[in-house]
Amino acid sequence: MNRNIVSSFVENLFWILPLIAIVSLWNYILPIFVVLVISYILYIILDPLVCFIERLIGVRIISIIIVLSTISFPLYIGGNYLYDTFSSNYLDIKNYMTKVVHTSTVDSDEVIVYEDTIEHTVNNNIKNHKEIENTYDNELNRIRVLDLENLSSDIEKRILPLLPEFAKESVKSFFKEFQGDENRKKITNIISQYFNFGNTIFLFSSIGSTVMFILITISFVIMLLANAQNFKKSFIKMVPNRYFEMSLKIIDRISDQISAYIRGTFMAATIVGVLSIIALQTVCTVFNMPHKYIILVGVIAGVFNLIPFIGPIIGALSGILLFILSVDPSNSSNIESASFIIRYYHIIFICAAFGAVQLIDNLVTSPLIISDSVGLHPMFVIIVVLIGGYALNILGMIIAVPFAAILKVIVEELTWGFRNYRFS
Amino acid sequence: MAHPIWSNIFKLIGKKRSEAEIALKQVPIFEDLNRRELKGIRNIVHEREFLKGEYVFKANTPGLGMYIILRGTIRIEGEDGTEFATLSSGDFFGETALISEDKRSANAKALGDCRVIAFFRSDLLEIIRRSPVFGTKILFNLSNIMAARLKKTNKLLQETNPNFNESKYS
Repeated sequence: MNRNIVSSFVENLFWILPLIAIVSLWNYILPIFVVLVISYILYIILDPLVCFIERLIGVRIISIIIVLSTISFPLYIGGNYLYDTFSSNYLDIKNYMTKVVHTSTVDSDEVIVYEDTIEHTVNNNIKNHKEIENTYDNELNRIRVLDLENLSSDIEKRILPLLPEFAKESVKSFFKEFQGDENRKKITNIISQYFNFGNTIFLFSSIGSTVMFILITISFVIMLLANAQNFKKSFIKMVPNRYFEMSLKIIDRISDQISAYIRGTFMAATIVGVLSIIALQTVCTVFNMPHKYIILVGVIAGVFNLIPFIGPIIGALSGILLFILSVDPSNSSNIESASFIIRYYHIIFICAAFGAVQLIDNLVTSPLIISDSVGLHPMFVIIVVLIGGYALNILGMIIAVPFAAILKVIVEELTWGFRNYRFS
Repeated sequence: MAHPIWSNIFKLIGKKRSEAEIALKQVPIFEDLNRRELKGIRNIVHEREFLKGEYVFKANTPGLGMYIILRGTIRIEGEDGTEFATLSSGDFFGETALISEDKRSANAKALGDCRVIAFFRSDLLEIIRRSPVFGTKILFNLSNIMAARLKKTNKLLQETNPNFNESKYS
């Protein structure tokens, strides 16, 4: 009897030992885990392409090289474009939102909170940017803080013309409240709570430089594309005979469902992004509205569409806000936008464009692309998104639903396996 | 006496086919594959060892694929233990599971310590996805075997039951 327990323990070491290692070394494993997840997702997305080329030329490794070199060029161009818009807009927005003050005029609490908030959202590359001035200047004791007076008066200036007469007074009094010092501190706190990308960027920066991160990811993707079968095979080799067929079947079913889910979500996000760009461009052309950030809005809408319920709203809001930003009432040098005055129906047009995109996505593309097998109850989805938001902020909200869907698939398949196989 | 360098080089060039590759070549499903395809199969299949008394698979569990015996003997038996067949090295069993997802119809039990190669439907699907020509070859051989079995069964039925009308059941 005693011997039986020992032998079954030894039999199960193949998964117990890795689990113990992962749990005890979790802090060190986390950054590598992120790289692994990203390369696995890339592998899932690229695998059909590689297989397609392989069917034509017959050699796996050459088809991998062809696919990777083909996609790297547009990726490079697109990444460069996004980086440029992000970094230049970041500087614009930063200069717009903040002002330089003398340290003695602000108390130290606020400075620390503010440093945490804004500085950690800047990634290292932007820090190296030549145009950026030193945020903290020791010699002059100067520091940048949120410029709420200017900000609120500016927002007031932009939004007030949109509103009907009866709402103007209440909005004016609402903006008056921003002027006080107490409120400024409160708002910096709120921003630091909800827009702290610090931990997100930490995940990437702790691996080393961005270049190192990209190189490791690319090599992982190549290895996975070349022989993902071997990873599965070497794991299966350690499974005891009793569970052999069952674990193989379960692994196959889980990986099938997860890859279908990842491909579906990727396709849906791409389609929503492209549709948003088309819809916004159409609306802006037809009604002669100036919008400088259409492609950026498309990317934001596509990425945030991964968050159910809240994502589409964020996408539409970003479209509206960036529209308001691209029409600058104080900037008369830009002739096109100087003659343009925002009316409330312009906002409605943009909302209608995003509404149409959501209709197409929810009625046509999503049902066609994403399989029903990982369907989660809407209430469960909201709970999961909220938990993800509390744990990892925006990144958490984006990965929460895929994570929950994967867990659900694993649990379901394990139950299926234990119901269908008998052990002696 | 050969210098170690030379013997090592010749070892690399004339690398002997492994036991598994020779066994795979004997199975009708893989018989007309060329050397590269056979090597591909060799990389995909799982090699496993079963001890005396262990079950390779049991009846009424989902079928996954076929097994080829490298060494040892395996008994195919019904759920109540009635023997259907005893297979030894070079034989293969469970090949219907490569095509259909039906449950296994019999137990497979190791009579002594044995070594088997497992080739599963998911691997076959992967081959078809990556190289349809190669996959078609295997599928064609598989259907050949099935057709031969069907002919044999029909013949047996006709022998035991003279009133058996083949067209009624096909």
